[in-house]
Amino acid sequence: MIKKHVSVIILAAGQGKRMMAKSNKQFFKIEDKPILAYTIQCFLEHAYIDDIILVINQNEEEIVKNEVLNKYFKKNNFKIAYGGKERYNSVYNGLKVLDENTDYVLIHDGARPLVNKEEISIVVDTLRERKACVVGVPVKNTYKLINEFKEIEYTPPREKLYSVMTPQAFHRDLIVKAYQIGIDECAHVTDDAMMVELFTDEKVLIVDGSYENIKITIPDDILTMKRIIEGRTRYKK
Amino acid sequence: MKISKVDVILFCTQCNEDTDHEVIYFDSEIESLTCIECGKTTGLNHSELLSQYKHDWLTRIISKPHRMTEEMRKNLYDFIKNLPARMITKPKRVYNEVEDIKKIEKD
Repeated sequence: MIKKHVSVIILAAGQGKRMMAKSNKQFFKIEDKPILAYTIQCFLEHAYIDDIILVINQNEEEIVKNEVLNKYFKKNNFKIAYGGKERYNSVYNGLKVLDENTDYVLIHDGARPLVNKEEISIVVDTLRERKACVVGVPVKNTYKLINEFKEIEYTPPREKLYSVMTPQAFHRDLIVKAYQIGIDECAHVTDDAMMVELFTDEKVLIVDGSYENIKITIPDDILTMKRIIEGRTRYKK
Repeated sequence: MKISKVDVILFCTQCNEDTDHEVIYFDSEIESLTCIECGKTTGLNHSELLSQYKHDWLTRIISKPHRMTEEMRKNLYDFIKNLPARMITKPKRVYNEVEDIKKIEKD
């Protein structure tokens, strides 16, 4: 099997709208360690990953270097790219600094620190057969499509619905092409799979991820993360 | 034992938008997260903080002789040199800790 060069783009630029350097949740500490450090560690420790690109807020570069990279990952090298106004701008900036040898690109939210080794393995392994895949989990609730008056128009069958997460994984040529075509008309695009869906003919495969792969958004997520970490520590194989 | 506060932006399910949240740590343990806009708090009930402090205080008393012995073993000179100042300032340090907790409970 030919070894493929796998790069990861970790999006850690935070929200542009309400930014104060110290308030970015990526730097929030759980068990004395910033959330971003947990995220980076997952990929750093995985044998498939060859390099990591961190997309950060330019104003936070010092904090990222002093409180995350130099403190926890001193012996490692990372490429840095700066975030843009929206998520897709940040991804595009990350794609622009890819190593010339990169074959596969994984794109991951910095605020998803609980991604596990198996999820990373499965997306990379899938890319040997397919050009695009994302991790997701079957939804547990019922979802409705509504009209402009918030009246229900349609209930999609639950078995056909997945909640999609990151990492989202692509062959380099495909994702770069999708972004090059779509970057000027993607204001409504919410994830990288959607870029591929809209601007290429490629089908994106969903692979089963873990319900523990949460995105830190609300305060309860922080307590959930704490409990998951405690559980993983207690039951470490 | 150290009580510290940090600010972080999270999505408040009451305000329905991203807001500043004040996070209180007890040493490195998260005790609570409170939305600064609406006051919604997630985490430990503040009224339990003082009872936790009492429990922690008992543990500290019991372990004090052992901890002092270890300090003497590591550096007897520094231990003797610092002891008078520590004895004089101890009541004030304890008072400050209790006041911090009472202030948090009041908030």
